[in-house]
Amino acid sequence: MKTLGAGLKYLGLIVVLVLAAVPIYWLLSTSVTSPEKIFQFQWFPDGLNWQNYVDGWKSAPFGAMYKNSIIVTLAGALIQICVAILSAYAFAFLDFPGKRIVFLVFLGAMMVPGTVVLMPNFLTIAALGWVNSYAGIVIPGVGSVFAMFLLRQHMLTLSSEVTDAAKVDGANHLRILWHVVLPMSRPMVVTVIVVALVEKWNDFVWPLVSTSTDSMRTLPVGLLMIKDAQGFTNWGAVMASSVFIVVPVLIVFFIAQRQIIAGLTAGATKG
Amino acid sequence: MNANARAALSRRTLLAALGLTGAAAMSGCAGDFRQTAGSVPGKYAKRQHVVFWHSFGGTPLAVLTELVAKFNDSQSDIYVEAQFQGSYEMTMQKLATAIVAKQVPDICVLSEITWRKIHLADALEPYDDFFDGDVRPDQFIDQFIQEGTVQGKLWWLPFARSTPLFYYNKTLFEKAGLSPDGPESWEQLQQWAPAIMRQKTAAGHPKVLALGSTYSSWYFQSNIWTWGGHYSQGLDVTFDTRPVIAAGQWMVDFIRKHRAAYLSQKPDQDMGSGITACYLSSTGGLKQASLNAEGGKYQVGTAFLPQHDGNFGCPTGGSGIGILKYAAKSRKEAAWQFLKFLAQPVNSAHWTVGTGYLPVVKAARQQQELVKATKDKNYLTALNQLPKTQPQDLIRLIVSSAGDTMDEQLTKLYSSGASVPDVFGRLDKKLSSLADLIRETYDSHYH
Repeated sequence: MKTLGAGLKYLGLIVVLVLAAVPIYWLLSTSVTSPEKIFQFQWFPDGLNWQNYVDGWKSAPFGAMYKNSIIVTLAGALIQICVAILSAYAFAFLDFPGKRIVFLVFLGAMMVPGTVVLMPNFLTIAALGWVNSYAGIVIPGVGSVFAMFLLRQHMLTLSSEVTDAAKVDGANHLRILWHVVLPMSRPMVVTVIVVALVEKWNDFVWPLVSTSTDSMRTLPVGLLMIKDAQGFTNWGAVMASSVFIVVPVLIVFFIAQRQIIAGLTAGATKG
Repeated sequence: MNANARAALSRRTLLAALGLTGAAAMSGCAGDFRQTAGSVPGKYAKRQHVVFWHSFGGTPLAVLTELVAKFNDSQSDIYVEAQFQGSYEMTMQKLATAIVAKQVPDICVLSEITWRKIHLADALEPYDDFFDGDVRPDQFIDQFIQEGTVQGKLWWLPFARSTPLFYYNKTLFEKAGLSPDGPESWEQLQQWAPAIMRQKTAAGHPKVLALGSTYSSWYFQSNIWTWGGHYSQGLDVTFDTRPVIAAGQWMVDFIRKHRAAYLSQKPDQDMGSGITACYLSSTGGLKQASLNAEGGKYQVGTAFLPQHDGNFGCPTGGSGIGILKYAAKSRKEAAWQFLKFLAQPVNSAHWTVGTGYLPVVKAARQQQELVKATKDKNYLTALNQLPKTQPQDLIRLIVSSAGDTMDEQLTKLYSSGASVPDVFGRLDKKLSSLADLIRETYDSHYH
């Protein structure tokens, strides 16, 4: 009976694994398929057509785009996490007038779709002279209510005895944050960082709108430049480019995997 | 309220319709406007810098980049910088935003739908005063010039124009004992349906026609015309009229009764894998169709769009280029030099052969490069069909999101059991109310 249960559990896991892995396998296999075979159904590519990778790389200035993507992703995620940690700490441990109202307004901001603020944001960076610059791509996206909210919820679960003890020892807020709260929030901070990294890496509409020249564009925009809306799209090249865009994200995920799982399941089990 | 204030207000309405809520009325002279951000390589630093926004990816992007480089190296006064801005729709959104931010490009690629909205917002410069001895409107294909003309002025210069085309699996037709030239009419295709569906392909028995959801209202415009109807007369919607419903009913019967047509995610792909024998696609889709045929080991054929009762109808599509009213005069004139360069027959032919778009300049047909390309009979079909095409009914082009709304409802008809009079009746009401929003602006610009 026990083995049957275990068997079913493994069967379930295998089904989920297949569901998750097949699209990635499909991406890899299509990326080495020759153009005329792209739409023929086949489990295995009938040859390794590396030309797709060459065509993909040549379809857009991917070298510059890689550099831009790395810069705006790291800068964007780093500033976002700093802002989120500081504001989460304030909402969790400080008492200030109107705290609840401010918090509700923040939560309300989460409900506003990104497309609504596209235009005001563009007008703002245009007025600041930031169109087609790194600042223009990064700054409007550094305030993430979601990241702040996740961290605040986590900080509220920390026992106040620890922070009170630090206060008694004469530590100011920044010290408490740095030496007490952050070490206890590590899994959650890593989770938020990874979410931010992936979000910035994949962001498409804002980097497209806030820049004009190819030299300032990021990778997802490059992917669009391979497609021909009305005629022939070299899907092999699109898939190949998708592969070299996805790989860095996968690497980051595997490195941080343990922390992420710890962060997302924190509080789910009795410790 | 005086007429000026009214015009400003309706411009605001239009800008709101473009997604520019709360935008200030676009008044002001060109002096308040700056050129949008760009970059000029050192060796061109002393030249007049022209910014050209476009929406081309893939092969067209490569051909355009080549043409722009050729222009920049052909003279020493002007540097054109081509900046990719995403799809036609994204390009329009960004252009509208740029106008409000007062940082504009000098010329911009606009689709058959988006140029009308920018024109209604009074942001385009008419071409009439630019024409000179070298380049005149009569050198372009007449229908395209006609389409870009409102109230006697030309606002939109043809560039990447296309039409729908009927694609079919020639090999399968021959096996079924049918004409290798494709069907002449919808009725004939219906008669041929059983013979086609008896054939065997890699996917089993094929269907006759795959209908796509993307731009379905562009393709269906042809059916409406051949049945003697219209989507609209001017801004007055006529979806609820007998010929339109009859055209819709015929297609619905072809799907539901004859089980010969169906809604497809990727019609071209379906022909490649043997799921369908025919589909409709843009002239630009020929390269993909030929590649799929190579992979599926069959011959692909192209034909005119099918007729009905001896009536033929085919809409034009694709994009052209507008000059921004707010650009400085010197930049507009420099931009015109570039547009003249694109209109040279040799360059027009090169663009056509490279991309599959139609030649917009009459003399391009005599160019060596194009003559050689038309040795492919499939390529010739689109060129022969071109003189018989006409601009679409206005409602789809001018009303905000009308095309999307129509595509959505046609997709619903193709894929469910909904009744044609119901769907078209509701669509008629919805489009009419959308049309009312811009009626005032329309009247002031079109009458």
